[in-house]
Amino acid sequence: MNWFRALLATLFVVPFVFVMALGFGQDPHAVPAPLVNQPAPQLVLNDAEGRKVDLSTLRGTPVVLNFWATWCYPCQAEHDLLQEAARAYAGRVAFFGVIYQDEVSRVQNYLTEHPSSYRHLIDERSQAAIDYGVSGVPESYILDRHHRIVHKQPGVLQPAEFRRILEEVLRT
Amino acid sequence: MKAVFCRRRVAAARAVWALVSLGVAFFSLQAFADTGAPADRPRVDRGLTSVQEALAQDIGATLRCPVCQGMPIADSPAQMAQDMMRLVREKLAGGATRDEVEQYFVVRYGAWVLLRPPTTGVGIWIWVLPPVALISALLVLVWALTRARTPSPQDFATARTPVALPSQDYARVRTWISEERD
Repeated sequence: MNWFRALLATLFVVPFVFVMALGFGQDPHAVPAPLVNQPAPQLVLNDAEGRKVDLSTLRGTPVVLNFWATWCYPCQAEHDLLQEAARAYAGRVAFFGVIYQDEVSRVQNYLTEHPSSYRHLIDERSQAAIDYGVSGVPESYILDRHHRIVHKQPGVLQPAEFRRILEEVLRT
Repeated sequence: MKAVFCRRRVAAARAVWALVSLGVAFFSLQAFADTGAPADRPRVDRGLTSVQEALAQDIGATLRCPVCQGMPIADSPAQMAQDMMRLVREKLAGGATRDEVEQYFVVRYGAWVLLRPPTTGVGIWIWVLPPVALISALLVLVWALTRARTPSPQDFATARTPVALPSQDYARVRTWISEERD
């Protein structure tokens, strides 16, 4: 094989290997989160009792938004963690559950059986979910005091990581 | 003669390589074509003009459903996809352009949400590479087939690599040639 053929083969093989290596390093199911480090979208929703919640009135307080549904078992699995965190950070961080594609009656029944220390908002027609770029549940968003999204957690929250992010948000 | 056989094998290998490249380029293009809107999709009237509804369906065919496996929102039965389609229609009814509607979703889900990759930035390579691969594969195929033509007596005469056969094989070849002539 002369130098020209070697060069030609390299020109074909190197980009191919590069693209393959790039692909293997990424989760094919991961949905990008371009809103991280951006201002959080406006959120005005009613809770399960019909009371209106406007996130902009809470500016100055960090916020945790947890999109969930009663039909989602991983969401049920992280329920206790969120309740624990909401109690631990009461008065310092505002917690909200956002109901994702579920029936209000089911949510009310669930919350009767599994009491919650924070409010749960009804996201009719998935407007808030789309605004935040939700790609499934559970999915949580942590907003700093200026209501900039500092973290998006697709899937179940990990206790240590969750605590670390909340502490960091409270420090800034 | 050995050199000619080798050359023909190399040419055949090049032809196979070119055919494989053609196949890859063909299926890449077909993958893009598959994202198009099916012709038999039912028309849904939600207060939009027929032109706006057609545009909504076209936009919906190019937006990826975030809770499905690579399906456009226009074809997905998922509630999330239907809610996204409703939003597309609402935005069009409100006077938004195609770019504005797409941009709304790109801001939230990134360019990932577009089933038709953008023609700017890195996305341009997805459009450029398949045709380039196709053209180069065609060129290599033509080149390989031209080189794989039947060797003429002159080729044997001008073959640079000397044919070195064991004496008994040489005798057998001479016998075959003389039999062919007879």
